[in-house]
Amino acid sequence: MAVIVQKYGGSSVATPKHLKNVAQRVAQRKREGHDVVVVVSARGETTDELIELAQELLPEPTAAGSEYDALLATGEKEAAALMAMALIAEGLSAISMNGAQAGILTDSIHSKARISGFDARSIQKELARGKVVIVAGFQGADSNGRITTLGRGGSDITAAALAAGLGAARCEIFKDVLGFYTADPRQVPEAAKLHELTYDEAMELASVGAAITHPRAIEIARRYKIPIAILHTFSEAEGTWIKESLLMENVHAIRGVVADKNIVKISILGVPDKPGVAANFFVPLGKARIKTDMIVQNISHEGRSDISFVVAQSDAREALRAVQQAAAPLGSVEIQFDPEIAKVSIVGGGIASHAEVAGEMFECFSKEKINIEMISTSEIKISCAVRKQQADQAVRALHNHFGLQNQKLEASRA
Amino acid sequence: MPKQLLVLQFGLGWVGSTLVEQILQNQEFFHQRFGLRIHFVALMRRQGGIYRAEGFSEAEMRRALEAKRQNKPITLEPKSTPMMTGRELLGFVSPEKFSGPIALVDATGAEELGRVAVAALRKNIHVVTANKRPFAASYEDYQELIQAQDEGNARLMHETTVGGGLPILRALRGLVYTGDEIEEIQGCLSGTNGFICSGLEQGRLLSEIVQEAQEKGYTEADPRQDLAGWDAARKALILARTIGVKLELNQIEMKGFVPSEKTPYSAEKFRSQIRALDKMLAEQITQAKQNGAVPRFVARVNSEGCSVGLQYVERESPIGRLTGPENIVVFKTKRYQKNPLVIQGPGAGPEVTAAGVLRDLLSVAGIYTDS
Repeated sequence: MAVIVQKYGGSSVATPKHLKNVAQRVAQRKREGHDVVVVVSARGETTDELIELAQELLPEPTAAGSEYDALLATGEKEAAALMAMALIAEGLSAISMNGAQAGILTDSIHSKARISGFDARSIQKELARGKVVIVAGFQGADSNGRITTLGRGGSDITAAALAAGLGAARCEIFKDVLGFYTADPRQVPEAAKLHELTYDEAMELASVGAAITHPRAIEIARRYKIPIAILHTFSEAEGTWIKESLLMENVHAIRGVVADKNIVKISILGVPDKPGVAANFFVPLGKARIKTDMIVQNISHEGRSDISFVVAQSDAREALRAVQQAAAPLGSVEIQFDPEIAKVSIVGGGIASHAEVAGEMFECFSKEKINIEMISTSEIKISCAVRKQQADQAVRALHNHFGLQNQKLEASRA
Repeated sequence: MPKQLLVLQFGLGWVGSTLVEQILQNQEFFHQRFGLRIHFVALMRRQGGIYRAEGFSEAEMRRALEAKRQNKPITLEPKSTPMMTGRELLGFVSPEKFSGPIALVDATGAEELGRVAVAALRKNIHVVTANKRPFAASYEDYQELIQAQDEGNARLMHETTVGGGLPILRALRGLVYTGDEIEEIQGCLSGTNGFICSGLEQGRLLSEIVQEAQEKGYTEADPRQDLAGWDAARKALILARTIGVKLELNQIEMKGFVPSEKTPYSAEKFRSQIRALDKMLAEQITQAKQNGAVPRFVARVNSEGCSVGLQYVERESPIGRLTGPENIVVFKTKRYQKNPLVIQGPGAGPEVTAAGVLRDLLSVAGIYTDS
């Protein structure tokens, strides 16, 4: 019997009515003859409410380390227990587990922990008894048994890790959208849904801001070759498959356009131009698990140069604090931050083999009078930082220029 | 003993920067006249800002204003703490650590600042705001805001959310609190639509006036918002809620120049939409003139509800005599029956609006207490 891991987000389990709905979905899979493991996020706004509560006591509750994680983890535990009750009401036999009970072992970096191991035995034991296992997402425990949380998108990461460890047939992630699109349909009404993406493409789309699932979840699925299906919680329609490409060459130069508006640009001005200075800033940022992107260093003047980079908005405070500390011994260094910036990216497996794409992207911006402030590239993406208020315009122009609304036809042929 | 007022400044746009300027220029005057020192301890733009419990110097303030004006990055001043959100900032501000009152000034146009205001009031931080959005949000959110004030010791001042610097809300409260009965409030609350109505009255075409208004920067990025009457509707809603009418924004009857649409704005489509109205409006106006009536963009509020839109009113009436972008509010009450109470004057503009905010600020600092 194949194992299927399903993950439901906070809006899918927000109320008893939602939970009943989801329970019917789970029951359906179970009746189809599968072993089902369900991963849930905290209900609705629970996590935000818990954070607000903590902030009443400590301005920066993350400083409380394991206590902060212990608090946040309760949101998912509550949802898991309620989900189990909803399944019992459906006539199924179900058991809920927190991350540690489910066998998820992590390192000890609180609120940003990484999964270091997964002991599948306790879940397997319950599956063998015919039970549906509900696992509280987003959490695990470190080697000392302290509760940890996995950071943003944590429940998707849990789901992918369980699917990998259990050798699941697939990992189904249920969302309030139908899947990945060529662009955010709220920005581009004619955007087309993508039927299928490679792991690399999906990972890149997710990491440049397509808020469908977390890149870390896709990375796990890629490593263990677990297909991911992005599906709509309350619709039977087909979503997006993320799996290995069956094509020999990439048909599509570009699969999607994404704007990430939740970023902040940090600039360090007047840095002494000598070896080791960049490391001076970026080593502490790395230690704090802050992902930096679009790193630019300009040509130096009089032995001093400027370094700029972008971070996620949620990391910005911590990043600025780290930079402030690292800059203190350097004397007259000025630190600036710019939250009114956005990153507009095009992603597609064929970008590396289509030399003309970069030029066309920049030309498209020039026609729209959009100034490019920073550029970064990888094999399968090109990202440009622009003013936030021009981001939507940029996305529409690129979507139109590369004819992405026609992807639907090509995709279904592929 | 000198009095201190600490300010958490949200929004460094037109009104916000003018307010900061007015305070900087009058620091000595406030000190000599009232023994008051105003310190800015946080400077927040929409997406982030800086905080320092000791306050920022005049040079630092000017640098922040200049950066915002040029749409440049925020400088993380020495020993200041970066802040990404208002809620985050409030986590750091403990009123008990400061000697003197703290006021959050909201000179943004962001609805989400309503939640920040609630959190501030619950922490005994006064809120002085020119931002009408939180007051025109859902009734539930509005009530939460009002309750946060009623249950605590901090005050919520929002005089400038209706009619800029004009003392409209305090006049209205004065009527309500003394037991007068409001029969109807009529008013022209939108400067942009007042400008358009004056142009139409002079025989100009709507499309021509709208273009001029756009060029002069009187309209929002999506001018359909103005022409549909949303700005006036939000202000009318605040008036209605102030007299105790439980009303939502979408319950207001909207009879603007164009219907309110949610489709993305296209300049080209908009122009042809407006041109299509030119002839019909011109005919209506000629007709109205023969009857001694003129076009005005009027908000009406009474206990039954609220409407906003284009109306033809008697030329020889307070509203009919209004010209250009000026605002007017006419209170018809049980006591002001025959001769209604009329308040008229410039209803927008950074100087008068900022001065209105400043007046509210001095009031929470205990300088005077007439509201």
